[in-house]
Amino acid sequence: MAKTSSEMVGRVIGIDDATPLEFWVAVDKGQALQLDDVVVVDRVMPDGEIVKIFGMVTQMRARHEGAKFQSDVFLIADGVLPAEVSEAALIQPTRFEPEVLVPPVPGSSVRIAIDSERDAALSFDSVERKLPAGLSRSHEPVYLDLDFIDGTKGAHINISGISGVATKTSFATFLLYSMFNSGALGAEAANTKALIFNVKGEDLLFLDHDNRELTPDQKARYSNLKLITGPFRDVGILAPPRKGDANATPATGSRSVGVSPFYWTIADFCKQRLLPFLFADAEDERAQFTIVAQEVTEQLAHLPTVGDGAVSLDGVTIRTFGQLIDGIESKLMPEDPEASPDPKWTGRAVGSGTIGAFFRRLANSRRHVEHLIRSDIGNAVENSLDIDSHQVTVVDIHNLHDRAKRFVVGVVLRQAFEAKEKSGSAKPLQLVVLDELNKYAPRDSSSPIKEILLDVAERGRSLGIILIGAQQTASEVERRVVANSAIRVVGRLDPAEARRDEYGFLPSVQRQRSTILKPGSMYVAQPRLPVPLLVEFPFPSWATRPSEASIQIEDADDPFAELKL
Amino acid sequence: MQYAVETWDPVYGTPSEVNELDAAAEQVDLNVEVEAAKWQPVTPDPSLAMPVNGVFIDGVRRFDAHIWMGEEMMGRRGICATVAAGAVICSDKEAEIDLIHIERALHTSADVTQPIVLANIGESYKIKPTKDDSAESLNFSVHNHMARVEDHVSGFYKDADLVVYDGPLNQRDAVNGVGYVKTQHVQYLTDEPLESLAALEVGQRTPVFAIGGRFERWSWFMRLPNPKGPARSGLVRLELPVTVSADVNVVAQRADVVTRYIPRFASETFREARAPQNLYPIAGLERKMRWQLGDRELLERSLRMASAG
Repeated sequence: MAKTSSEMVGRVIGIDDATPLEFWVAVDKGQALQLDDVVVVDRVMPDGEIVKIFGMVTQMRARHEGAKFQSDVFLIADGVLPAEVSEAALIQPTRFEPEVLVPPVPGSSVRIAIDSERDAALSFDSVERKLPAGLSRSHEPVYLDLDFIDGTKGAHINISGISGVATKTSFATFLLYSMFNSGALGAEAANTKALIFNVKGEDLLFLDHDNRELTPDQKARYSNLKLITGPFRDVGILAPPRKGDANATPATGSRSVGVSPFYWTIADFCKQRLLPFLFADAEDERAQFTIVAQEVTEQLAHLPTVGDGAVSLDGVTIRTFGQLIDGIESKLMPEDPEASPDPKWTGRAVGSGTIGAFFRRLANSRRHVEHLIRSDIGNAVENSLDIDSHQVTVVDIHNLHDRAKRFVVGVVLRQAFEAKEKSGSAKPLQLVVLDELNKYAPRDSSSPIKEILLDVAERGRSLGIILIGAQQTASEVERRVVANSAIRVVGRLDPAEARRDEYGFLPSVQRQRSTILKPGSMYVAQPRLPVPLLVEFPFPSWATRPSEASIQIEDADDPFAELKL
Repeated sequence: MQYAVETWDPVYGTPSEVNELDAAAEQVDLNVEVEAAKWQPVTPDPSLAMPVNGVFIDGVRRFDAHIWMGEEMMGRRGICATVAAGAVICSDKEAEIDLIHIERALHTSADVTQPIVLANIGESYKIKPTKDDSAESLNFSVHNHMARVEDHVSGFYKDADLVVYDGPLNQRDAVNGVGYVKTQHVQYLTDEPLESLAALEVGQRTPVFAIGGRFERWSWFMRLPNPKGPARSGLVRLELPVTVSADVNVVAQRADVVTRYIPRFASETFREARAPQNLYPIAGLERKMRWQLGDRELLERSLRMASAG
């Protein structure tokens, strides 16, 4: 928009109340305003001081003046009845400089804020570390204040929106890219780590490839944001092993190169007390058998290890999850009908029904997780989950059963959290991207995973572990997880969802608009600004599917692909 | 200047409308286009080219306050009035209010020259001296002021194809002018011509006749469409200045053009109290001009404040 700052676009209307919270501006003939434009009005105070009132266009209206009836429009269009088209814009002030909260005077001229005035209007001028978050609809950069992400003043980002259209994961990934490449993090960027859970599709498995389909237009958007284009550098991709595959080849559909399998050894499972993470369903928490689970977990932790990741129970070496279940069964439900269950394993005064329920549950989980918990492969110990040696680690769980997803997310989060706790230093940051928060931190129940997410949400700021969480519906996610996020982002919302209190940070017009946001557009609310900003983020400059990856992806089924030249 | 504002609302007790025409002084010649005895409704030639841009000019006036110059009941009466005139340009696509001109004046026979300045709202009333103190004189002066402002406005449209004045032409004699008379104070027709008037169908006109007297002009009646109104309604009288032509055929052709041009702008009953005679462009213009006269109460209050010093 090539407007000079002095050009008047309209005047403050005097027949509608002008208040410090909102006011209407009549648009001058030959001028135009649109939603999200940033404007400024001066008001001279009695002592001569000039108060600049900055604001944003949040609603517009146009009407015929001089017409009385709806049908007058036909006469007007036919050139019979004289009438004037009058356009007006509703402005929500974003800032008063200096902060004297007065309404603008009706009749005052209003101009578009550009350059330094726009920065002032959006409080960008007082932000020291600006993180590019995308472009406004007039192609100007929009920034987030890194202080409110990295824990200095606040932490965590929460993104809501319908899947498919809201492009939550893409925006989260874009923010990561921006953090690593914008220079906002300074020297720390190099050591900052990100952990991304790939919960749906295989979108995130090609982060380390250039996007072939990135158009020059899109490249220009990156340069508008002063970002280079390219893939993520230093990406580690972890995928669960194929079921039934003795070599634990990672089970990814379209990508096989550069993917490592992840699993836990039986010894890890026992020593690290991972059993409760298998009982993380909502209904599990309410059941009696958690007592049994606690006792069993405790007993497993004390089993002796026999090297290469196996444990020994009553002299029997256990290498597979199946064997472990058998071992537990022998303790809980002895074959000999005369023998009673080992009270050390069951807990005191626990009925056989409860024990049975626990065991059925455990046995049920076997087919979902046995490929993830094993010591039946050579060098099993080296293959344990490593989230530290790459800058970005993608943990692919999209193919797993819900139970296994919860297990993996819970265990990996705990690992990251404990590592951070041990390190005792908030910097460098550990970023965690997790979609479907409603599954892992549901509002109405508790589970070991939810406890960890709450820990992250509430203590992560000081520990340097930052959650970029996303969900379709914030109303289904634990309040404290959402409430602790300093930055709230909203993509396309379901109309019924948009009415809920969780989106109170969206003024009513923005709420309405959130139901028609197109992919790639988000509302970003940040603590510094009273009005959420509409942001359009550029198309990923990294591949999100094989066809976009700029190198040939080898046939996924070729196990020797890595050996080829 | 010492004056007092009458406490009565000026809209009460306003003298009746100024009689625009002195019928007695006029001679009518009905045998111009057709002999009076042979009058029949005329259907205008549909092949005539219509004006590209028509201009409609109208004025409004409003009494803002009655005042006493000097001491109340002792001095002379005066009227503070605001008048406005404006123009609408109608093309086939758009009707646009092109110009509105507003003036305020104090009409009085008192011996004053300095305008009344309302400093608080940045307005002022200039002085228009009147012949005497009578209501008729004051009223006439206001009307005259409005007519002058209308003249001022019409001065900008000398090159327009057609300029329609709301009301009789009176002294106006521009070639492109047309007087549009909604109300029929004077009975011009008798006998056959009167009968043919009743026989007019929508879009038809009577033959042209001549009106003499102080302001000579050509005139005819026509019937406007009025679909939802009474069956025999919508009569208006139009006037052309004698400057159009002395050749009655030229005048008749011009009358055809005007007769075909006007019905497009005729209003409908539910939209306009004075339908169909009050034309849409003029209705829209009047509405806007009345707005622009400003808030009467504010003006009156400001006059009181100014009089108090």
